[in-house]
Amino acid sequence: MRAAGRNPEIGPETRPGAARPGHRAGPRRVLAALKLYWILASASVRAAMQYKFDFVTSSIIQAVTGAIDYYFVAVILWKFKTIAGWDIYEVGLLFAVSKIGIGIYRVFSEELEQFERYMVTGDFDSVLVRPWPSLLVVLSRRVDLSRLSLALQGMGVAAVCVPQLLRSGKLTWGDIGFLALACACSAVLFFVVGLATASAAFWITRIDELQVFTQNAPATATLHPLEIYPGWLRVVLLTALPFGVGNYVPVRYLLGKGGTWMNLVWPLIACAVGLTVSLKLWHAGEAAYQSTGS
Amino acid sequence: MAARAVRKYWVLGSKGFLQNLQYTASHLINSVASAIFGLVYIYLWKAVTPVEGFADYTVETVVQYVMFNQVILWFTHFAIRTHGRIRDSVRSGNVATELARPMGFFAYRIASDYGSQLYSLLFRGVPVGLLLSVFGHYLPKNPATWAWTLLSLALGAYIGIVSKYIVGVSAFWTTEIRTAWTVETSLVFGLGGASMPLEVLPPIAQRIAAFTPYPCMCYYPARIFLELSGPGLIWRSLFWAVALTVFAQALTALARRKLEVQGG
Repeated sequence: MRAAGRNPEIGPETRPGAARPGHRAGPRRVLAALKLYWILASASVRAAMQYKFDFVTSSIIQAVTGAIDYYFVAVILWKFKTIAGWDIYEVGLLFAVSKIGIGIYRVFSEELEQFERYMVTGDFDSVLVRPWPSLLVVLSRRVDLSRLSLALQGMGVAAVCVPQLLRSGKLTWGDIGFLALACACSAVLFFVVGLATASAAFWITRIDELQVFTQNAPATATLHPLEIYPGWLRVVLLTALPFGVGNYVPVRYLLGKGGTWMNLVWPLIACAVGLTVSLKLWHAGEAAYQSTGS
Repeated sequence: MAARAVRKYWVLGSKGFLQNLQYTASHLINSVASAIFGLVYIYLWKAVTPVEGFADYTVETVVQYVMFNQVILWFTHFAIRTHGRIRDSVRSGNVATELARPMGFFAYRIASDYGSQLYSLLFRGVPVGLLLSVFGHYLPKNPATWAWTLLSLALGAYIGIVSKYIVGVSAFWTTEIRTAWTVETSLVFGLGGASMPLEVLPPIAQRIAAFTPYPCMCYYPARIFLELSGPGLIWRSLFWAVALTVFAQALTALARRKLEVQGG
């Protein structure tokens, strides 16, 4: 099959990357796109809810067993008391913000995690023939509520750590709103990196291993205070793979461990820049897409 | 007769090895990611380990422990695909054909996976070790330690594969094994010493870990390689290899009676 984007038989209005209904930024089109997303996403949730018992039990078990990352950190802190001056509750806050962020991201963007399949099987063709932005179509195919288990882990750890930090005066009630904002920014930054990694599939097809490199490894690294890493790794985690901007930067300031009020603004700036870059990358990839199979 | 049986399983193992050779470039990218995981853990342990060390570990020994486990984890845990293959086979109904083959279902699955695990050790584990060797490397002083380590590792990988086989066979009852796999992985990391020496755990958790097969996959091979323990630990691995084999065979017999193939 020829590249869909270079097929002269496909009109310019249906070519990947060309202006599609959802791309015309009029408020009516945006509303229509959101309505479509709502309908498709609801259908996906209803389909998953056909197996309620399986959904509930697997979510709970995964939330409990998946907390292994925090178990690992908690055991170390139980034995050695602090990591680079951060105690168990402070590290718990880092963990909570990151896990809530990744949980929200995975609920709404699970298809990006599986995007390699679209390239390998040629399924992306069926996305392109729909008169809506391809990213919207891909994301609406699955809203995976079972991934809330990740956010539940974070909330569980936060429920233990935040009261302790409030009691010790390291956090104030006013900081809770900033923590909620940090969780939201963290989710957006996971989306930014997830989208950029998925976009790479348009050129290199297989991204399974790349996802480990760009997502899993840095996400694990930012569960710990960044002070323990050498300078170059800190730079990577605060720029190219900016998960540290989502949790470490604001939490460090809120806990009085350094930084200025700008630490609360940097995540918003990173989200705006990251979204712009990753969306551009997606559209560039879409334009370069070559189908597979026959 | 015995030679033919061995040859049969040798062919299966070789195929598992050769299949993986198709994806060497992709696996090398993953090795870099694994090395980054190793890097994260190394810096973490360097940050928390007191100068005087703990138990019989110095800062350097802990770093070597983490490095060794990053190298062998692909061999004894991560790259094992038995569980997923059994689940897919049950879902598609192909398992009926596999069970009808003139060879044991258990042996067929284990032999196939062992070949790909050897590949993982050579093409996924060793590159990770080379990348992490910037932190220095440990070589056993006693040449016999190499042999004991390899034996311990061979048993650890076998136990890892059988453990995943048991997770996979649960698909005969549930068709979905994600939760079982998550539990198993948590145990490998929590009680197997994959992410830290077991001496870091609270005493009660250490005692529980000693009565499970999970330390055979990471903790025992690492202790033997670093010459912190003698080869006596291999007896424990041998015990668990036999016990899990018996259990897996019994489970396979039950699964064979339980099998329902949909469609026609």
